[in-house]
Amino acid sequence: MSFVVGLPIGYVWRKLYTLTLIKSISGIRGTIGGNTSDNLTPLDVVKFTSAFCAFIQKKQNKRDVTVVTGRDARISGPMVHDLVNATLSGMGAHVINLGLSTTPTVEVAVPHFSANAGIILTASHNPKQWNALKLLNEAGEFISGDEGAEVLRLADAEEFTFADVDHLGSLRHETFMQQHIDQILALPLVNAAAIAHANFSVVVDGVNSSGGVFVPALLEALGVKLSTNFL
Amino acid sequence: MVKEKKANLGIVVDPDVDRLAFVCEDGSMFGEEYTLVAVSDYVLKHTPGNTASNLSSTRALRDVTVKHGQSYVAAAVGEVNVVKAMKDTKAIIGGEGNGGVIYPESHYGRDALVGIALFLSHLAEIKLTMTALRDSYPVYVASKNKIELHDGIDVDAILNEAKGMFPDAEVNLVDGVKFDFPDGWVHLRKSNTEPIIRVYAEHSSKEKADALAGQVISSVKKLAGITA
Repeated sequence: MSFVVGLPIGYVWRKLYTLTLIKSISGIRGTIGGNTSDNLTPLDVVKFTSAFCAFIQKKQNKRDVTVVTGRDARISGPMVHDLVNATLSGMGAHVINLGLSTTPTVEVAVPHFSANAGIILTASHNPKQWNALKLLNEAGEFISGDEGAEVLRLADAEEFTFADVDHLGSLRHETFMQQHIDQILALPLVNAAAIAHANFSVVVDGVNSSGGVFVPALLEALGVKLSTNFL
Repeated sequence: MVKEKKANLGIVVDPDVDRLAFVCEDGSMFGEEYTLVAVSDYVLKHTPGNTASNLSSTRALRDVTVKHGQSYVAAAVGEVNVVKAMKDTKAIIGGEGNGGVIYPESHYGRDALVGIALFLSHLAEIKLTMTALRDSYPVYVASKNKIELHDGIDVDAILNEAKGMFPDAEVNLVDGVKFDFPDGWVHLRKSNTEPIIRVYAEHSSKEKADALAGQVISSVKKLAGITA
C-alpha cells in the first residue's frame, strides 16, 4: 500500500520483528547467546553498560560516579550482572551491588546511597532466553527518552574511554531488602497495626523470582501469616 | 490454592516485583486492573489529591477519583509517561492498569511492595472480604485484542483514517487513537516492536467490550484491506 522511498515499511517491520536485540529509550533488551549485535551477547552488555556509564560521568562531570545494580532471578542474571559490575569498575565507577533484588528496591536504593545512577537486569515477564538493562537516573527514576537516545548514540559510536589502573572503580555488596521494607513500613498511610490486627492469611506467588523472597519478608514485617509461598 | 488453604487473599507479583495482582478468598481474580483502583481509593480517602494512569487502563480509576472529588488524567502508555503526568498534575497516586502502583510519597516508580502494604492497610481498615471490596467498585470489563498486519501496510495512515470512525465519541490522539463513550472506551495503538495494532476496549460487560472491540477490528481490517 505505501512505501518509504525504496524501502517498504513491511521490510522495516520484518527486520524489527525478527531482531532479538531491541534498543529502546527505556533500555536494551535481547536474547542470550548467538551473534553480537543481533542478540544481548556479553559484548553488547559491555558496550551498552560502558555507554551508559560514560553518559552518567559526563552528566556528573567526574569519573568516579557511583552506580547501584540489581537483578531478578533469571538464569542469565549472574552472568550479565558480573559483566555489568566489572564494566562499571573498568569505567572507573564505584558499584553498589544489591545482587538478587527487585526493580523498586534498586529505585529506592539509588537516592538512599546518594548514587548517580542505577542499572536493573530484568526482562520482567519475558521468557527465560531474554534479559535487559533498565537504566535509572540519580533520583532512581527511569531515564528520559532524550537521555536514552543519547546513551544509544554513545553506544553506537563507542564514545567511551576506560579508566587507567589507578582509577578503577570499587565494588561493594549490600542487600537493601530490609531497608526498603523499613521505608515502606514508615509510610504514614501504611497501617501496620490494623493489618496485624486483621490476622490475614495470605498465599503468595512470586513466580520463582525475587518476589518469592521480598514479599514474604514484607508480610512478616506487617504481621501477616503466610499460608503458602510458591516462591 | 487460596480457597483450599482458606486464605483471605492471594498475592501475585511479576519477576522483578513492579507489578501486582490479587486473588479473592473464593479463588476468583480481583483483577490486575483493580489493584491500582483499590489502592487509590485508600490513598484518596486519607489524603485527597489527583490521580493518573495510562490510556489503556481501566476507567474505574477515573470514577473512584471523581467520587473523592479529585481529578484524573490519562497519559500515553509507558511508565515514564505516567510518571511525567503525575509530576505535572502533582498526583498523589497513580500507575498502570497492569498492576503497577506508583506512590510518590515513597518514590516515582511502580512498586508492588508499596502496593501490597497500602492494599492490606485498606482491606484491614474497611473490614470487607476481597470479593465484597471488588464488588464495591464500578464494573468495567476489558477486551484485549490485536490485529496482525501484513507487510507493507502503513499503520499511521490507517489510524489516521480510523479517527473518524465514531463521530459522537470523544477522541484522544495522545497515543494512537482512543474513543471515549459515556459507558466505555476503545483504544487503538500500534506496537513499536511487532507488526500489530492493539485494540483494547472496556465496557460494562465482557460481551459489550468484545462487541465494541470487534466493531473496530473489522473496520480497521477493511481499511487495511485484510479480508480474513
